[in-house]
Amino acid sequence: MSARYPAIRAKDLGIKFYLRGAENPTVHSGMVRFLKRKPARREFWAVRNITVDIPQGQVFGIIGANGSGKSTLLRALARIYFPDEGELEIRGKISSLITLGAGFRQELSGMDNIYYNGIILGLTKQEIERKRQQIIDFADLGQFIHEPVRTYSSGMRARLGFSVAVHVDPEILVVDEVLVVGDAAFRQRCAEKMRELFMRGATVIMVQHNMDVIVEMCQRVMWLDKGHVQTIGEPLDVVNKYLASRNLPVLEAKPATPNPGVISGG
Amino acid sequence: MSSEPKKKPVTRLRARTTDTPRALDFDTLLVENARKIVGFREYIKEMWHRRGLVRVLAGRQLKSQYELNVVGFAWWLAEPLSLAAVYYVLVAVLTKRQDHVYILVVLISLLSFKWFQQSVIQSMNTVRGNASLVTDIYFPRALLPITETMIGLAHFGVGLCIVPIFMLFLGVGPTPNLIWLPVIVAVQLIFNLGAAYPMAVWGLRYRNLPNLMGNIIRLWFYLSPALYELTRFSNGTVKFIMELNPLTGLFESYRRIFRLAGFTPSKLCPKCASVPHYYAGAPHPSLIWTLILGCFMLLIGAWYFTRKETQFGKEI
Repeated sequence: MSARYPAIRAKDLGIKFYLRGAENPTVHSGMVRFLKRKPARREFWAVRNITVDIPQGQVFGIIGANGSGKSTLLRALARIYFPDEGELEIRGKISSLITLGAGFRQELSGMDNIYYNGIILGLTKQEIERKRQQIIDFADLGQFIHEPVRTYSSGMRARLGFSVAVHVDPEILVVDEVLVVGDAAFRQRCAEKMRELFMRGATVIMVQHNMDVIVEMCQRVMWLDKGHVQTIGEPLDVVNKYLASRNLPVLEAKPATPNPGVISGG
Repeated sequence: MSSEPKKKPVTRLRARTTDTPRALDFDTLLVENARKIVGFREYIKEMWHRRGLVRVLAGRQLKSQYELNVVGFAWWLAEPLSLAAVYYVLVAVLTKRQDHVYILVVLISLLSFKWFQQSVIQSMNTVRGNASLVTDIYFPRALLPITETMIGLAHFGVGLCIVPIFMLFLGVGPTPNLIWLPVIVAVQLIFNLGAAYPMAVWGLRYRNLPNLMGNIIRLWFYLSPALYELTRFSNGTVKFIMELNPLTGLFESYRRIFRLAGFTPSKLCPKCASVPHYYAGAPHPSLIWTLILGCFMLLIGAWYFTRKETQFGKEI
């Protein structure tokens, strides 16, 4: 039955934040506000009226300027923010790669963190035992895997985080600009691992500022502007419209791109 | 297309409640414009599904706090022991009490109180303390206060291990009443959680609440029969008011089952017979009041928490 349903279906999705100014809410300020019956905060809709279906197995990209609500939307799709408006349907095991190494404990070793992070991301103990060696090999930290994470460089931490997260084998993977970490060799391995996920039919939703990566990897792209959908469509089309709107040089359709759909679309 | 959920006109700002499958399994969800993700029952199921998280978060916390070895255990005991010693010396000197069993009275209520205090205070900080998890990964947030309560329970359990040593030295023998221990622990667990859930919501919202609550809880401790026994009060009204305090049922019950005897002196503890304030037996009746209040607080608190947790990611 699952094939007929989209992996993610959002209908009129809206996420709002409250603006409080610089005030830090405290007990006494809360009481003062209650007594004065002053509204505590103003609303701000970070994203609104998002309607989109993402079929299973699609690589879906989200682009837009800073502050256009990309990360907010991504967090909403990963169930971290709840819809304040509209509705959202998610079908499948979802894993989010929003910050690499979310929940790492600085003072514990990389080895311990693999275990803790794996459980946090939804793996079982047995699965971690089975995949431990793969995760260690993928991160390729050598002997440092036994050192506390606080001694790691940011690149090493990101590698370990990415390594754990991709071994969760999610059906839906939500990725926020994390592919830019590590050296060229590691990026190559990441790209391979991502491709392996696509092959297995995983749905991937990614936010990227690198338009080459978007055009190369995605099958459909959404351009977000001030929290609203500007366009959804073929990657090269959307990317070029976006670039043109910002007076940037547009991309050429590359004959060598591995995604034939892009060429016909461009 | 028969199994496709029936299309309905979108109703804004009100969650639809019928017809559509809300949670087909743990990974397939329909999230609506609701204040909560899914029904309460599905939420409980999902919590059960992710229960491993509690062990991992608590274990991680304990492991990084104290390396788990002999020295670590000693650290756990240092605080309640030193506090018990201070209170014992203070009270023994000030009131010229002669009974050494008193240190046991103080120690047991201190351990129980520490557990309560830790559950409440740590729960207020738990969402912000796990900010990197809450803003980046989805999991039922209701597991966080449970984690803090479980960490407190671990401390409590280790603390209880030193009680037999004191009993041995003081000549207080164990009795079958000790089988009540799991019951009292369960009641306190419910009560602690019931207090922890709303506090987790408010502690996140009001940043200085943990400081304020720290003082209030300490005051509460002195007003509870922790450093003194309920039997010291002869006035019925005062006693009744004391018994309305949910901590009274806990402190008195722990004390009773550890048989700090007086009414039923045993051969093992001839000295205790001369001390009128101690008594032994089944838990204090006001434990039932603690249980009722705890269940009520837990139900309301958990419901409130699940309604508010949808905003945690934004409030941090």
